[in-house]
Amino acid sequence: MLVLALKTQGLTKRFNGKTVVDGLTLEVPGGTVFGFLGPNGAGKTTTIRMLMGFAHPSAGSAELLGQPLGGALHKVGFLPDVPAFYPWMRADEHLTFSGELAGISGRTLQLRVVELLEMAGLGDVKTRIGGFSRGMKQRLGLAQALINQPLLVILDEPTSALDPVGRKEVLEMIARFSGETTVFFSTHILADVERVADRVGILHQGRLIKEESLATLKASYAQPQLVVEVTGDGDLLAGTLGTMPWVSHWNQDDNRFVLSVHDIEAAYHQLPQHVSHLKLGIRHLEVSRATLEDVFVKLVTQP
Amino acid sequence: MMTLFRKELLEQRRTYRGLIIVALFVFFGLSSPLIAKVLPDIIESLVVDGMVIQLPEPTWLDAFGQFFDNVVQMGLLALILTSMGLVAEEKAKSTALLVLARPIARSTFVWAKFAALAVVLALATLLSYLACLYYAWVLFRPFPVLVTVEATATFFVYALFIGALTLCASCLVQSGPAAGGLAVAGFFVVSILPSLHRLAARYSPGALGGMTNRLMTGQMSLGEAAPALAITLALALVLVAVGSWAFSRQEI
Repeated sequence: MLVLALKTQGLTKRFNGKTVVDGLTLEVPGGTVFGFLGPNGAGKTTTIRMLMGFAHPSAGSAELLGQPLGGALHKVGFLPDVPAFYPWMRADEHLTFSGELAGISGRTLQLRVVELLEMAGLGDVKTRIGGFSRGMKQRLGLAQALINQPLLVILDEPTSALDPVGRKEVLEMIARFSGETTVFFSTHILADVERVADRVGILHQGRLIKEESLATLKASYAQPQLVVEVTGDGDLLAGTLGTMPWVSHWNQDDNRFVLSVHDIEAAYHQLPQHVSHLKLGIRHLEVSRATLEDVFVKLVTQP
Repeated sequence: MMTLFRKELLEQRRTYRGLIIVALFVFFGLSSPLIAKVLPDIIESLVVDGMVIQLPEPTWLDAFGQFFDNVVQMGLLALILTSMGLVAEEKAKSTALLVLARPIARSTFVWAKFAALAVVLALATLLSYLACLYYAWVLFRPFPVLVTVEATATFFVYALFIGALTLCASCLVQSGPAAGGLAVAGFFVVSILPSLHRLAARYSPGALGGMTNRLMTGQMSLGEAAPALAITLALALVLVAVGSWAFSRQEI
């Protein structure tokens, strides 16, 4: 397995005096599913366009599979954010075309095309691509990215334009092939990253503000939360939460409270006693799992 | 290169771009001898009482002259309109991305398009010439066939040049209509250059349009047309190379 599938060093892109990607230094270990996370306009697509040779870096360098940009394309698969196909082709024709461009031919290519059409759920589709739904195009896009059995797959926002069903199908495809190749995918959808990624890089205003394993990131940044719903006058609890030393901040929605806490153990034991002391009842109490959204919001909003 | 070339040919067929050019050229090939034959009769039928118009008897030269006039003007304009998006539309619609994400040089991408365009033009020229030759032979035989072959070959080189001009324009700009506008402007300049300067009338690509008639009437030999043919072919290749170079440097 490759040590590093993707590496950038000070990668920078400026447009009309504006820095869109700012000194991006990033290492993606081989075999990982790397979620390249950032809000819209953070510079994700520009980064990927530079990696694929569609845009020229203003400064810095990058390597794919240990080779300078453009040198390893025969071992790389790519899916743009909105894949555009030749509408007059059929799915099998497009996969054959992509395979031939990647240097595959003969029986090997035929078998690979059949295998990928099945994987994309397009095995029985004989219509031209021009008549495909967005979800079908995205699945075909993933299939064509895999035609050359790549060591690295680069996916730009693979789910952002899809409905929930399409999203689920594409994420399942990514999960299925992630064991065979390194996956680098950009997205602004946090749930997608949580679902399939094992490593995360967060890009904000062109800068990489964090790069960690997902587990480490959540453990380091996400504060535990208690969700409690009380019976009776919720304002009584609201008036006293400020005195609780383990509460860092809290939100109230009628009788429902979401508490961010420093010490989850203390909070879990003391909160019921405190509610009881106020002569209120507890309708619901749970410790919520730290989400990537909490981490993301914290990182991109901190000064 | 062969994969892209085959794809381009298939695209010319499936999108009807190539078929339109072939059909239009063949239509001119079929209709020109007929029009040359019946035009004097039509004009005579329009003559009012008392008016005397003396028209020379139509010949094979009128048939081929009409044919070359049509393909040089309307045929090449149609070529520009159907080819203006060859690269520009691939950029605008991003279809080029999935191709260029493969280990394919951008120059290969452009040259494959030129090769396919040359095949379509060759087919259109050949079929339309054969159609014109057949009807001209039926209506006006006998006549020297070899000079019509030379004139057709001269037209083909000119058409190839206009195809290269359109492809180059398509590489330079970001949309099909803009490429079309640029190519039409180039076509216009190339067409009027021979009337502006003596050297241009002898050696520029635009001169080839007028040489077809002079070759057929014997006013000029193929050897005398050779410098202009060679220059036009060379310029066509330079235009594709320039387009390819510009495309290689662009961000897409």
